[in-house]
Amino acid sequence: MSRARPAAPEQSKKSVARPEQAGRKPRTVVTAREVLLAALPALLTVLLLTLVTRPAYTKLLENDNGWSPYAYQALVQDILRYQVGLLDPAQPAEELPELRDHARSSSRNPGQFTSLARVESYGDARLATVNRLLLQDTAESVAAAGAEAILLNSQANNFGQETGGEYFKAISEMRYALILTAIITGLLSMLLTVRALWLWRTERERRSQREARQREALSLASHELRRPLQSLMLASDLLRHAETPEQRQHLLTLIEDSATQLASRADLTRLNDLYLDVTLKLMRTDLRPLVLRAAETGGRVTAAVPDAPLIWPVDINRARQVIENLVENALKYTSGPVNLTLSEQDGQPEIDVRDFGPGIAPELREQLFLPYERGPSGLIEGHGLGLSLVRRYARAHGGDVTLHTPEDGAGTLVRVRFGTPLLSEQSV
Amino acid sequence: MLPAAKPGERVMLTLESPGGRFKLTRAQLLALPTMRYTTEQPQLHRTFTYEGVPLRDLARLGGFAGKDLRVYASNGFMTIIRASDYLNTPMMLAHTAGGKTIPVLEKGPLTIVIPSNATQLPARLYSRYWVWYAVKISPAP
Repeated sequence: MSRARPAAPEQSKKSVARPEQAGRKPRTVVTAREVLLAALPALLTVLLLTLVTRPAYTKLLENDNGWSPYAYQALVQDILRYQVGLLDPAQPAEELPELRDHARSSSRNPGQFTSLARVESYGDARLATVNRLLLQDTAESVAAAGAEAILLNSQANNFGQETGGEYFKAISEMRYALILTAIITGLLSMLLTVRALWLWRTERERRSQREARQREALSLASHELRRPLQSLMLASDLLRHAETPEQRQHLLTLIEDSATQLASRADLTRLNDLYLDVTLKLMRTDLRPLVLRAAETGGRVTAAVPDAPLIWPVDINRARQVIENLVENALKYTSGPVNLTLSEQDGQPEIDVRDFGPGIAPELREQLFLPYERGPSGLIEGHGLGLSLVRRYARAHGGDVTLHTPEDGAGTLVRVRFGTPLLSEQSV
Repeated sequence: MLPAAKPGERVMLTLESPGGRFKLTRAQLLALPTMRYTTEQPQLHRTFTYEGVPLRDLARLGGFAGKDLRVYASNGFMTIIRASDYLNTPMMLAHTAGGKTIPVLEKGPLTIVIPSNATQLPARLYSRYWVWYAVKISPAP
């Protein structure tokens, strides 16, 4: 028995929600997000580097842009040169004022001594004292000014060493912060790379699924086109040999019906709606003609329907495909009679297709609803798509299709129940 | 053509290169092409209108145009002024401030002066260019 794939349970749900469209973000938002993510390592690096270098930079600014003790040393040097000049008999007297003024030009100008207040806080020596002593301009006062300047220079050295220590500490901290920054940005880059690979793989799988769905839709379409096409060709052939106007009229009706079915099943723009995320065109219909039609050809197929109309909202073409597939399977895989029964159970219509073949073991029944699966008589030609499509259509109608063992003996009973349709283009 | 130095006239500046020494008195410096602009002396925190000889002219006169300069002061200070700086900005060896000789107490008589340009010549990087008591210029090897 050829049985085909069910619409997976979630398939019907998909038909309702269409999640691939719902919640999709605009392309610009996605692009902006991806650009931001790509720029994130660079932005984070800039931010972290700005933060980690700030303490050292601030320390540099606090210490007058890299403090130098030169001005203090030069003051000592100028005073000592003047002092030596005073004591040196070989020193031309006319040059002494210039030597003195060298020293005075500095001692009277605190502006050229960077961080003077902080240097003076390191001891008792003061620049103002040096200047006052130089202004007195005696051998003793110049010597005292030299001593004061040397002391001030020592204070400057102390300040300089502490400043150097602060620099060293700030640079050491900056070194660790830079290493930490490198680790953080490296990890972030690695995460983004992993994410990109994951996205690439996901997209590849999604594309593969899309292609598989397209292939499935085309296979189902091909499967469903086969019957009306055969019917069309057979009727066309018989038309040539029709002897009476009634026969010709009957065959023309068959051709017309087959052509309508072909058109209904071969709309390439609606393959998804026809075969995958099934969308129904509902109409409240008496189901009896649909069932009786399957038995019209006579032969092994018989149909039993209630006396009263059984009206239910169905997509006529899809319901017809359901019945056709089940009857075709029964005829193809069994050699005995095939009985169709339309009935109403618990307020819902049911169609039973009963054959008298070897039956199907219970453990195989669910497997038969998978596409390309066929029953024990699998050597008979077929694609195993029919039963999967039947289940898909039945579920789109809010019902299902199930396989049973008949109570009165051998064979298989396939039961289709129609419920409240889930998704439709129109309701009548 | 520079005026000849008078006997006993004090040499104010020596341009020294491997090729020899070129000594200049104040009168000779005044005879050279002069530039003038107003700027703040960063150590004195006072603004002067300085006049002096462009460093590029002195380098040319000394025979070492386009080379980095070593500028020496009479108190032992020395600094190197990069050619890219003195060729691209109007740096000068000033001999006059406010129309007068620069006194020693105001870092004269010769002092290197650079224009106020916080962007191109930030003080924290270029304060060493302000060489006062300048007495000798030679090319840096």
